[in-house]
Amino acid sequence: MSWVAHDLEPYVFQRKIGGRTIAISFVALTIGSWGPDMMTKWFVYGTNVVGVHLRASDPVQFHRGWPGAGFTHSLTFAVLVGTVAYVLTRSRAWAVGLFIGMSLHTLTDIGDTVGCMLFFPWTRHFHVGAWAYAGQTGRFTDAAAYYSGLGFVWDSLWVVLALAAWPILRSSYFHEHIAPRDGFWSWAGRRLPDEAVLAVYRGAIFFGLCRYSGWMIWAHVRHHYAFDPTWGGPHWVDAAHPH
Amino acid sequence: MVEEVIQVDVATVAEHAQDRDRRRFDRALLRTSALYLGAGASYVAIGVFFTPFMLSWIIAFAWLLLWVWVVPAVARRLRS
Repeated sequence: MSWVAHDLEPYVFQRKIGGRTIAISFVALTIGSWGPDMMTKWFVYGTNVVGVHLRASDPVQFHRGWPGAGFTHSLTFAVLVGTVAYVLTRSRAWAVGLFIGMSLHTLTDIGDTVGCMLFFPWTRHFHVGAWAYAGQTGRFTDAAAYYSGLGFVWDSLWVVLALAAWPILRSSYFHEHIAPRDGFWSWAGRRLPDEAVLAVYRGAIFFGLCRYSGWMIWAHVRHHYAFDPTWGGPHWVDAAHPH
Repeated sequence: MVEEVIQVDVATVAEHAQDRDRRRFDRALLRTSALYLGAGASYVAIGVFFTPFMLSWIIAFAWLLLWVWVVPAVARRLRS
């Protein structure tokens, strides 16, 4: 899995392509980029609902496998969600945004040792195996492992790409290229002042950059987990593989 | 002669106005950047010791809105 990459993908994509060719909703792009994990992560790590702890008995299988919710991390599901969004809303900008956001999420998640069933219902897992998948160990060990192996290099790359995309964070860019393409922003603009709407637009990159810094400090300054940026590492954690 | 003086004066006034606008823009940009940096630094500082803070995008968005919108708006109201 990737951590901060999913927060930053929409900005990098918007910088590279979004401004020129087709109209894409930035909100849909962001929701799409978060979507597959929003549907699954809570059950992978577990959560408490009115005193009852809910957690998948096999987190890896649930997150990326079949039977399970692994289909959410597939290009097929991205096509399906985009199509359903288009049928329901008739908004090409939202349909394309959701499709691209979910596809980016899926493609950036094949870097770990479990990978994704890109072409579900074909259940073959495509995986690069660059860093250990450790979702089954719980949220904190997973964070420590990810930011100790090549995962942190992967996220660092996205941080650099997102910082290089800084011109799209300007107010003028937002008003010229982002707001006119999506009714959400005019709706938000009627309820909030300009500085608040801009903060919402910049929120995901704020979240991503802060999480990146925060988890790095948490893992290596506060807790001293060992760096192991070797292929498939860190090897101090039991990496999961496709079942 | 009189025309020349008037022209020079108009140019000077325009330059001063531009300078004033630029300074105002720079101050606004500096203020906005400081607010975003403050929001980020405090978010990370709290998150390192209280990790649930770092896990939720809802908290992150709320925290950012608090820093760049709510607090300045309250400060403006208190000053006026």
